[in-house]
Amino acid sequence: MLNKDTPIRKKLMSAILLTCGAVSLLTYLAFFAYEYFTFRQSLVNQLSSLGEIIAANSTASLAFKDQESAQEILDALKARPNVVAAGLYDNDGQLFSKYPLNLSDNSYPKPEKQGYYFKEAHLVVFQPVVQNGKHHGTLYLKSDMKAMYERLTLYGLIVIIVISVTFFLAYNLSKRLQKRISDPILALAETARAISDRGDYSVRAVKMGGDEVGLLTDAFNQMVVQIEKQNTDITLFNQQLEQNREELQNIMDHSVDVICTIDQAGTFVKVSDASKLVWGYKPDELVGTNAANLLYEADKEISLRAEHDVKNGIEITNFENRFIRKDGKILPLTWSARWDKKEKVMYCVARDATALKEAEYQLQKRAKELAASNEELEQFAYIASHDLQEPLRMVTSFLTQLEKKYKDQLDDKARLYIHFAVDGAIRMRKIILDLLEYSRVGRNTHDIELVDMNELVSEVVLFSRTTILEKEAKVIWQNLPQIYAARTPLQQVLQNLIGNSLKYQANGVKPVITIDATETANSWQFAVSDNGIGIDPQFFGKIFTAFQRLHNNNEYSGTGIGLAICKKIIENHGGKIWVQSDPGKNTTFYFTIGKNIRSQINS
Amino acid sequence: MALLRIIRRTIYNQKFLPGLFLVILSAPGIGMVSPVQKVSPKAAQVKAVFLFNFAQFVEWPDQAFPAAKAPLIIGVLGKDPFESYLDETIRGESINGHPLIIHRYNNLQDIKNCHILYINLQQPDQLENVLAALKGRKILTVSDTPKFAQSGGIIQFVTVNNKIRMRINPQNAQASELIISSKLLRLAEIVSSTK
Repeated sequence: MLNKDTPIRKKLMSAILLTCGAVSLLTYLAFFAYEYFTFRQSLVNQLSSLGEIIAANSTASLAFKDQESAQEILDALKARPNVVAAGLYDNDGQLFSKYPLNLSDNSYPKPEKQGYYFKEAHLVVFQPVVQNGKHHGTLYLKSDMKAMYERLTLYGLIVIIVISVTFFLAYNLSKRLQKRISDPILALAETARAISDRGDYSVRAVKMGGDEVGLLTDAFNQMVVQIEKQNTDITLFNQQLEQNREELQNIMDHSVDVICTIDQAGTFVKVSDASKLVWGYKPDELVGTNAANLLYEADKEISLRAEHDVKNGIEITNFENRFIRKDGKILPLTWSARWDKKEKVMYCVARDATALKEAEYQLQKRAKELAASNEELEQFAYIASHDLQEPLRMVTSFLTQLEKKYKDQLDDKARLYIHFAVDGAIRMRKIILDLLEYSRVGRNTHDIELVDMNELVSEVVLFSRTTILEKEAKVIWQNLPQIYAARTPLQQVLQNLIGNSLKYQANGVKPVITIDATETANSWQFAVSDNGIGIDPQFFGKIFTAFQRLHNNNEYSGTGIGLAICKKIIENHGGKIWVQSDPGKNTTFYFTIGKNIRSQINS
Repeated sequence: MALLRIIRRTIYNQKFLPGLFLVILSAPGIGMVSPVQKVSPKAAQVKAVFLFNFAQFVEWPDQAFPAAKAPLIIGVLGKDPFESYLDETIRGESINGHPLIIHRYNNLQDIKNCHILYINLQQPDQLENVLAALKGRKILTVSDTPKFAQSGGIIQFVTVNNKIRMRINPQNAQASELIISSKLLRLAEIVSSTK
C-alpha cells in the first residue's frame, strides 16, 4: 500500500489514519471482549438465579410426585423466551417434568451436579432441587444466547458507525493537518525540481516556519547559494582554463621547436605545428604513430636508452640524435624531455640542431686552425730565436775582435760606437734567450707531482741569497701546503715573483717579502707581497704581456718577459694570476693552483 | 435416594416375585396398564414416603421439641398399614438435626410426644373423639379417613385418578401452631372445617 515512492502527503495521511484506525479498533475489540465476557457471566448469573427459584419452587412437586404442579411451574418459563428448554429429574435421574411439553425426551441430557456450561451457542444450567437439606431431584435449564448476539450485533453496528464517523473526521482533519507538514516539504521539493530541471540556481525556496523543515529550507538555500557561486567560479575557471589552453596552444603552435608528448609506448600523443617545418610531417600525420619510426637507424639505440632514462624520472636536456625528415634528409635534433608521472607521458622539446651543428663544426675548425697557427708561431719563434743567435754571436764576436785588434787605430769615438754596438748585441741576445724560454714554456711538458711549497720557496731563497744579503731583505713564509703541480715551472714562477719583489724597491728600503697560502674549495690561492715601489693600477693588465716594460733599462734592468712566462705557467696549471698594488707602498701578486689539477691535466 | 432404595428393595427382596410378575405382565401385547402404573410402588409405600416428606415442609414450634437434638417422632395410631416401608424410609434420616423415629400407638393415651401422627381408625365414628383429644397439641395429624380434614384433622390422603393427593385444613394446622409450607399447600386441596 505504501512504498518508498508514495508521496509524502499520502504517507502522512496514511500514518494518521492507520494510527487512528488501529487505536479505535483496539479499543472496540477490548470493549467487545469485555462485553462478551460480562454478558456471558450475567447470562450465567441470570439463568442460575432463575434455576434456583424454580428449583426452590418445585421441591414439593418432586417430593409429592405432583407432575401437574411441576408442569405449571415450568410453564411459567414462557415469560422467558430465551429459555428454550427446561426439565426436572427425580432422584433416580428419571425425567419427571419437561418444558416445553412437545420436546422429545431424547433431547434431554443426563442430570448433572450443580453447574453450567456453554454448548452450541446455548447455556445449560443444572440446579439441584433441595428442601430442608433433602435432595429431591435436579432442574435442567437451557437458554439460547440470542440476546447476547443481538446485543453484540447492535454494538457492532454502533462501532461501525462510530469508526466510520471517526475515519471521516480523521480523514478530513489529517487532510488539513498534514498540509502543515507536507506543504513546506513539497514546496522545497518543487524548488529543488525547478532548479534541477532548469539549472536556474537563482531560485530560492520560501521558508514557511522555524521548524526542522524551515532549517532544512535555510540549509537548502545556503547550499544553492554555494552551488551558484561555485558554478560561477567553475565557469570563470573554465574560461580561464580555455584561455590558458589557447595560450599554451599558441605557444606550442608558434614555437620553432617541436613540442610534443609521447606516451609510455613511445607513441606521439600531441605534436605542435612546428613538426611540419622541422620534420616535414603535419601533427595529424604523427599523432598515434611511434616516434621511433622517425629515428635515424644509427641513433636508435642511444635514443631508446635515453627514453628509458626519462621514463625512470631522469630529466634530460640537450640530448642529441637524428631524425629522418619526410623528404628523406637526415636532421640533427637536440632534445629536452621530462616524464610526467601523473599523465604518464613524456613532455619533449625537439630543436632543429642543423645550425648549431654547423656552428659547432665551424668553431672546431677555427680552433684547429688557431692551434695550428699557434704552433707554427711558436715553432717560428723558437727557430727564429735559435737561428738568430748564430749571426748575433758572429756580430758580437767580430765586434769584440775589432775592438781588440784595432784598439790603437780607432779613435775614442769609434771605440764608443763599437761599445754601443756590442752592448746592443748583448741585449738582443738576452731578448732572444728570453723569447726562446717563453716559447719553450708551452712546448715542454712536465710531470705533475706532489710539491712541498715550503721547500720550493726555501730553494728559491737559496738561489737569490746573494741579492737578499746585499739588500738586507727579509723573506717570510710558514706552513705552506703540499700541492700537486709541475715542480720546475712553479719554481720559475716563485723565482720571478720573489725576484721582482727584490728588484723593484726604492733606494735604501729593506725589502720584506711575505708568501701566504689560502685554501678555497677547489684550489689553493698563493699571495706574494712586498713593500716595494708598487704598480699603478692602470698597468695591471699590461704587465703580464711579453716585452711590456714600465721602466727604462737605466732604472730597472729586464726584458719584460718574466710575468708573461708566469701567466703562461699558471694558466697551464688551470689557475689564474693577478695583481693588487698600492703604488709607493706595496704590491701583492696572487695566483691559484687547482686542487684537482692532476685529473685536469691527465684528462 | 430413599425412594431409590425402597424401589431396589421392592424388586430384589421380599417383593421380588410380584415385581417380576409385573414385568412379565408388561410384555408387549399382554399388558393393559400403563408403564408408570406398573413400576409405581404401592399406595402404602408412597404414603410412607409422603409422611417422611411432610417433615420437610412443616415447621413445628420450638416447644414441640424438648431438646435441640430431640428426635422428630412419627407416630402411627391404630393398625400400621405401611408394613416395613415407613421404617425403611426414615432409617438414618434426620430433619434439621432431629433424628426421625417411629412410635406405634394402640391407645390414644399412649401418645405423649409426637410430631406427625398417622391415624388409622377401624371405626370412623371414633374420629371425633380422637381429634378432640389431640386438639391443641402440636401434632400434624394425617389420615386416610374420609372427611378427616374437614373434621379437625390437618392432612387427609385422597386418591384421584390413581394418584395420591392431599387435602389440607390450614385452620387446623394453625390451631396446632404448625406452619405448613406454601409449596405443600399449593399441591394440596385446601379445605376448611365443616360446622
